[in-house]
Amino acid sequence: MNKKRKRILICIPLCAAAVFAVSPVLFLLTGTFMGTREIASYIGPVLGEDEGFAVWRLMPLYPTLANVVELLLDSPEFFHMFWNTAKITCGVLAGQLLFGTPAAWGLARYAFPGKKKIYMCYILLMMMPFQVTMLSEYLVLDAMGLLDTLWAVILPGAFSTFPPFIMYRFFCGIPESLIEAARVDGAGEIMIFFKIGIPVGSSGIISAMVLQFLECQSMIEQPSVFLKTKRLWPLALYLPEIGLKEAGFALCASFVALIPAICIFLSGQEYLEQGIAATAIKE
Amino acid sequence: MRENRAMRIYAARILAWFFVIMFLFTAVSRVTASFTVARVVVENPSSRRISHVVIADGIVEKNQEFAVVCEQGLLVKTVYVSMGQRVAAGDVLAEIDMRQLEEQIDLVREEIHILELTNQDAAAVQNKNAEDAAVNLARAKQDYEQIAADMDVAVARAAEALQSAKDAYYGFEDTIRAGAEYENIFVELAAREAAMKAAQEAYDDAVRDQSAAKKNAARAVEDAGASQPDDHSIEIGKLQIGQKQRILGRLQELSDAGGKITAPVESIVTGIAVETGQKTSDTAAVTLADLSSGMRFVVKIAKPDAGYVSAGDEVTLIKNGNRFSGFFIDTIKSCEDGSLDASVLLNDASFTIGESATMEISKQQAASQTTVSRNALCQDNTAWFVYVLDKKDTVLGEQYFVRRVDVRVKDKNGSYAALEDGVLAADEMIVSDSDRYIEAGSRVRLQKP
Repeated sequence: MNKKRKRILICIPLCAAAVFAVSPVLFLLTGTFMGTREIASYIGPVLGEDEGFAVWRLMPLYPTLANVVELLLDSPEFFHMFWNTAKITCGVLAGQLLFGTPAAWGLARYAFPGKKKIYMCYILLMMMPFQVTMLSEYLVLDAMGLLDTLWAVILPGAFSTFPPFIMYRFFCGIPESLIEAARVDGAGEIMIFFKIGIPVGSSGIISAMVLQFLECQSMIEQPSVFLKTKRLWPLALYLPEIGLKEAGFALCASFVALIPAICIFLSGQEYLEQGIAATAIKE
Repeated sequence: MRENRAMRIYAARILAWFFVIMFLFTAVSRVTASFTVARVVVENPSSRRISHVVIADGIVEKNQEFAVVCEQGLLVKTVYVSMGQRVAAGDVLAEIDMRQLEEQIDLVREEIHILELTNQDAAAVQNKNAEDAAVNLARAKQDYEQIAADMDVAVARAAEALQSAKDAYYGFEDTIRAGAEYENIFVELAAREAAMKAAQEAYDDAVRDQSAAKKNAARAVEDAGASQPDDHSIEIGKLQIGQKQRILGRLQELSDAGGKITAPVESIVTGIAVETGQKTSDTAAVTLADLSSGMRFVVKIAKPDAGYVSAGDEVTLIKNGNRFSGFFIDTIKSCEDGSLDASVLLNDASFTIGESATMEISKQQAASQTTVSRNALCQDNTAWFVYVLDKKDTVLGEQYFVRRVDVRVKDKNGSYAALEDGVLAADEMIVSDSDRYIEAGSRVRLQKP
């Protein structure tokens, strides 16, 4: 009974916290099927158009599919930006797989002069916010002639330091004896990397990809700085462009933009937990 | 583990389907956007003169009309013309029955004679009345003088008698005062006083009678000398004789012409008031349109075009596809409803009275620097405006949007409109046509004209 009571006592606040954490998603979901006038009547005080307190209903009083129809049939710019986001995300993930994974393997399994210093640089760069490196990135991209192109966002993301850091942890966990055995069997370093390193460290790779995917979906600073042409903007920059008078449409667009993230999270939840746990392990 | 794997596979499938759906709706949204986006034709403001062509239908009418009159009461033997017939000077319009005309002439002559005799009788009566009046006056005067003389004598006698009575009375008083003695003094005195009173009364009566007699005699003289009321019967008679003589003259002229009523000038018959076998009335027998004074093309200009027409404007008349130029607006009259009644003087033999034609006036205003096609001009309750094309950088690339610009219209016709300068730049693109309804802020696509 004590255990049961304890569980209940623990579950109640946890459930409350969970509801509180999920409430923005519920806000999006219900707002998707609300008319603009109904939304305005609820959140008018927040927008300064009404007096009193803002309220919200979990069930719309007058449900409507107008926002969904407008989004799906009458908003080609939304889909254009969605595919921009998809291009950026795929480019960054591909770049991470191409460059980040071998870099993490090298740092984890090989000893070479300056390894620690390079690793320290990785840690240092990982801790620096975008605002610190923004100017140097801008100058480099400008010199390369990549400003106002999607490569200006893809390349810095492809060479981001955080995913290799996650993968490094997992690669460090591979037993050395397994590698030695493969060497004894005549496997080369590249074969060891592809046959042992990637399969065994797939958890770390996937978790890094998941985290990077979520990062790319919400990327707003790099596109706003490096992309001037609206045609190249990702979805994260489009949503703020929607006016408050189109609140229902904005909520619907936000919910649709959330679906890929939800799917990716559900797919890689297990690996994500492993990745977060791995970052907590001190070397 | 199995559950996690199943969840991963399920989530992956949802993601895959999500991308498929997004791909499909990407295409669908592009297609629907292409349907809803209006296609517009644009133009640049240009410099142009606004011309106004006023076209109106009218009819050719007579310029001057006159009446051919005939004496009333004559029997019409024959009518030789019909409505709209063109006649030359001297052409016979109608013929009067000669026998009845001669009878009419004789009748008038007799009437004149009767009037003359009547006048003579009236003159004789007037003379006699004058003589009688003079005689009566003379007699009245004589009577007055006689009466005055007689009355004077009577008054004089009464005055003498009165004086005698007074002398007798006052003398007797003096005698008494002097001390004379008389018997019955008082009786004597009373008798003399009574006599004096009687004489006084007789004198007063005489004077009164004199006044009355004179007054009556004077009245008689006045009555005899009073003027007689004016008698104009002789003058009236003379006037009537004059009228009859004029009628006689006209009848005689008509008789000399053989009873034929002719046209005095070349003209067109516009009205016939006589009929064969009927008698003429007091109105004109025939009305004619004088061709020597030309014709007139009359037309009504509608109110919207009234501002572009003025007297002296050159016009072109179109009849049966043929164009006749060189005419000018002669008169213009404003009507209450804002329209105009205009007329053009015609001296062209190509036109005949009663014909219909179309009038065309073309006027060009001063050149305007900012002119757009009429289709580009829009109007709402407040003002005139045009839609200007703006290029904007959007998510889907460079797109065109329309912006409303209020303008002031200086002049316009059916094809172009002249706007006030300074509002539109020469390189701005103005929407002149659209295949859909557009409003300010609408996204549009350019369509080649």
